[in-house]
Amino acid sequence: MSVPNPTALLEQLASLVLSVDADEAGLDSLLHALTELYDALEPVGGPALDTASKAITHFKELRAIAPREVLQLVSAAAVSLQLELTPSASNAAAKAVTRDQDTLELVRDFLQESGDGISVADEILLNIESAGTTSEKVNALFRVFHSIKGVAGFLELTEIVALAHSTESLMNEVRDGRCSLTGDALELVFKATTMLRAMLDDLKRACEAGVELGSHPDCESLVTRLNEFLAGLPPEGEPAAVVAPVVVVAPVPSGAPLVAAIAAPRASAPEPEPQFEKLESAAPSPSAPRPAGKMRETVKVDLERVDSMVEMIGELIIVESMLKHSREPGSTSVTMRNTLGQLGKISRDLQNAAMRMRTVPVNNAFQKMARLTREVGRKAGKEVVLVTQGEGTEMDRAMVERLEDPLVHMVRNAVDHGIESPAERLAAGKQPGGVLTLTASHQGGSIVIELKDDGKGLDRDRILKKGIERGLVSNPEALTEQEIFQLIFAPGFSTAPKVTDLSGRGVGMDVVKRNVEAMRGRVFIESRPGAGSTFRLVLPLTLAIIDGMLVTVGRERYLVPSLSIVEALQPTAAMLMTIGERDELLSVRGQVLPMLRLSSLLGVAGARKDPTTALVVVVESMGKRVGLLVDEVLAQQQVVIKALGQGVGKAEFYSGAAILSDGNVGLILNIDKLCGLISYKHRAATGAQHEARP
Amino acid sequence: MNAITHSTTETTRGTALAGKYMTFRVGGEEYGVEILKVRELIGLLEITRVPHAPHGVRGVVNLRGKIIPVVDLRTHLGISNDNAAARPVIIVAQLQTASGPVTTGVVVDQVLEVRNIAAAHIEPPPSFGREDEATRFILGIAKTDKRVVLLIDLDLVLAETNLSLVA
Repeated sequence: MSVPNPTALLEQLASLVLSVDADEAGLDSLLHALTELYDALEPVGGPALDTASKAITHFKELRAIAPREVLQLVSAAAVSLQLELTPSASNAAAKAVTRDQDTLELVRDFLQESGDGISVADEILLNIESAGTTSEKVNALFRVFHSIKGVAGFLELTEIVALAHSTESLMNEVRDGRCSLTGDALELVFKATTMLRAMLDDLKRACEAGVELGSHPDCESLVTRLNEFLAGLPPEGEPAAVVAPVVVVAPVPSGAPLVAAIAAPRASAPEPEPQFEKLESAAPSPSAPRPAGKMRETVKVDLERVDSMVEMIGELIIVESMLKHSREPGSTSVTMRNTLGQLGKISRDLQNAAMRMRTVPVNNAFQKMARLTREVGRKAGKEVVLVTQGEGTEMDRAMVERLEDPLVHMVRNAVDHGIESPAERLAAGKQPGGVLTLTASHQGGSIVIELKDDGKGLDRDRILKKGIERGLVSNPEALTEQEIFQLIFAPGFSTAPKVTDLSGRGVGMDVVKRNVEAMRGRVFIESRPGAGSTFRLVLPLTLAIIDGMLVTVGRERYLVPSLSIVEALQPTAAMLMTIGERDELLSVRGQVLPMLRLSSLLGVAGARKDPTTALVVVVESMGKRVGLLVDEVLAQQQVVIKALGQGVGKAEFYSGAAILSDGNVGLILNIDKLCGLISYKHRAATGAQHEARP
Repeated sequence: MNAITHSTTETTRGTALAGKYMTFRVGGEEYGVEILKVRELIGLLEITRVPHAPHGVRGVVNLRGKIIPVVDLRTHLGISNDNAAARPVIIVAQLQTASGPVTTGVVVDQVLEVRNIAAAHIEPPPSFGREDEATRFILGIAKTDKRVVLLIDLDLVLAETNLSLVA
C-alpha cells in the first residue's frame, strides 16, 4: 500500500478545518483526516509526527468539553505541521495580502485578541520573574502564543507565525521540564512579546494605511536566536508519548502553499474571535490580579455607536429636566410628579450606564509600565520593581490611551533620576532594590494617578539653580516649593548631568504636563530629600464631561471650567485700580492681577459697569492669573462638551459649547486663550506670575 | 454647481436649475432653495450668540444635541432688520463646503411653500457691476404665477461666511 504524501494530506486537513462545523460529524471527519496524516507521517518521523500525535491527543481531550476550540487547535496544529514539514522552503518575501472587508474585520479582531493575549503574557512573565514558574502559568503562556500562531496563520502573517511558533516551542520545552523559564529563556520570551507587539502595531498601521506589511527588521534574528536556544537544549531523554521533542524551524518560514490553502476559503471560515474568547474564558486565570473579570462575556460595539447613544441619552436628560421645570397646568398633579421623578431616576441610571460603556480599567496601561520599569531599570543598572494598586479603576478609554505617554516619561524619569544605584541605596541605609508605586484611584469627582518612588527625591536647589540659569526664574525667594518643582516641566529642562539614552535630554516632563493639561488635568509633585518623590496626576473622570461654573454677563451665559477657577469674589473699591484709566487691575490679598471685563471682550451689551456690584472670577492658566469680571455666578454644573463645529469662525475664545439644562447652548470659555491675552514684558512665561507679587 | 452654471449657456442654466424648490421670505423678497438641501425646519429655538463669530453668523443652536451654526441671510443679502418677523424660522440645510458637508441653520422670516420650477421659467440674474452685490448669491430668477422667486446659492453663502473669518 502506498503511503500518501503528508503534504497533500495536510492541505486537505487545512481546508477541511475551515469548512466543517464544530458538530459530531465535522469533528469526526477532522479526526479522521488528522489520523490519516499521522499514519502518513509515521514512516517519516521527526518533529511533525509528534506534533500530529499531540494534536490528536489534545483533540480527544478537548472534544468533549469544548468542541469549538478543537477547530482552533487543529488549525494551529496545521500551521505548526506546515512549518515542520517544509522547513527549507524559505521565502522571505511577504505575501501580497489582499485586504478585502472581511479580511480587515479578521485582522481587527486578531489585533484586539492578540493585543489582549500579549498583555496577559506580559503579566504572567512579570509574575514568573518575581514569583517563579508554575505549570499553570506556563500553560497559559503557551496558549497565548498558540492562539496567536493559529490566527496569524489564517491571515498569512508568516513572520508572526514564525515568532509565535518558536516561542510556543520554547514554552513547550519549559512545560516538559527540559528548560526553566529563567535567565536567557525568560529574556527571550520577553523579547518575543515585545517583538510581537511591535509587529502587531506595524500590522495595524499597514492596514490603516492600506499598504503591504513589510517584514520587521529584527524579527528574523530573534526567531533565529530562539531556535538556536531551542537547539542548544539537552536532547530529550525518555521519549514521551504525548510530548513533542525540540522543534527546530527554519528562521524564516515560508508563506507557502499550505498557509495559502488555509487562507483561501476564508469566507467559510468560522470566525476566529468567538473561539478566542471562549478559549480565554475557559482558561484558568494564570495570575491572581484579575480573578473574576475574565469570565465575563463581552460584545464588541463600534465606538461611534456608543458615542451617539451617550449623546442621545444626554439629550434625554435635558428634555426630562425641561419637562420637570415646565410650569404648564397639570404638571403639579401628584401622579405627574411621581412619574416625572421616576423618569428622572431612570434617565440618570441610563446616563451612568452609558458613561460606563466608554470606560476601561487602567490595567493595560499599568502593565506596560511594569514592563518599562523592568527594561529601564536593567539599562540603568538598577533594581527597580513596580508595584501597582487600583488597576481596576476605570476611566474613559480615550484618556487611558492619552495617559500612556505621560506615564512612560514619568516612569523613565523616576527610574533614571529618582531611584539611586544599589550602592548608593545601601550607603543611604535603604534596600538595594528601588520600589515604584503606581496607584490609580477615584477621589471625589476626579481620577488620581500617583507614581511614587523611594529614591533620593528632587534636588530642590539644583532645580532652582538650573531654573535661574535658564532664565525661568526671576525672583527665587518668592517661589514656593511646589513652584520650584513645577520648573521641571518647562520644555528642555533637565538637571541630568549626562544625557543617557533613557532620559536627560529634557524632553519628557514637559510632555507629561502638556498631555495632562490637554486632558484638563493637573500635575502635583511632592518630594522629600532622601525619601523619594510622588507625582500626582489629577484628571477629570471623562473627557466628555466638564465641570463648569455658569456665569452671566448681561443677558448672556458662559461656562468657565471649574478646573481653571482659583476663586470668585466681589471686589471692593479699594481693590480696584487702573493703568491710564483704561486697563484695570485688581489687588487680591496683596497680589495684583489684570482684570478683564468679559462684557467688553465679548461685546455683550447691558452688563454691570461697576465692578463692586459685580463679581470677579479669578482664573489661572499657564501660571498666569487673571480676574474675569462677570455679572453673576449662577451655578456649578456638569455639562457634556460639544464641538462648536464649522461655520462659526475661529471662535478662539471658546473651547467648545454645551447644552445647558434649559436646552439652550452655552459657550465654554477657553481660559488658556483669555489668559494668553495678557503678557508680561521682560519676563519668561514661567516667571510671569510672580512679577506682580510685592 | 455655481461655477459650472455661470459658465454655461442660458438654456442649460435653466435646465440645470429646474426642479423642486422650497420658497421662503426674507424682508419683502421671496427666495427659493433647492429642496434636496433642506433637512428640516425649526422654529422657536433660542439662538446663542457667538461673540467674534464671522459677520453674518447669528450664533449657534441646539439641534437635538448637535450644535449647529445659524447664518443670517439678511446680513449677506443686505436686507435691513426693519420688518423682521417676530418669530423667525430656521431652515436646517446640508451645505457643501471644501471640507465636506456642514449642517447649517439659515434664519428666514417665513417659509412659504415647496414648488416645482420649470427650466422655461428660469432667467439668469443681472449683475449690477459691484463686487458686494447680493446678486452673486442668486443662481437664477424664476417667474411663476406673477411672482418672482430668487433662487439662492446657500453653499456660496456659507463659503463666504467661512471666508470672512479668515480675513
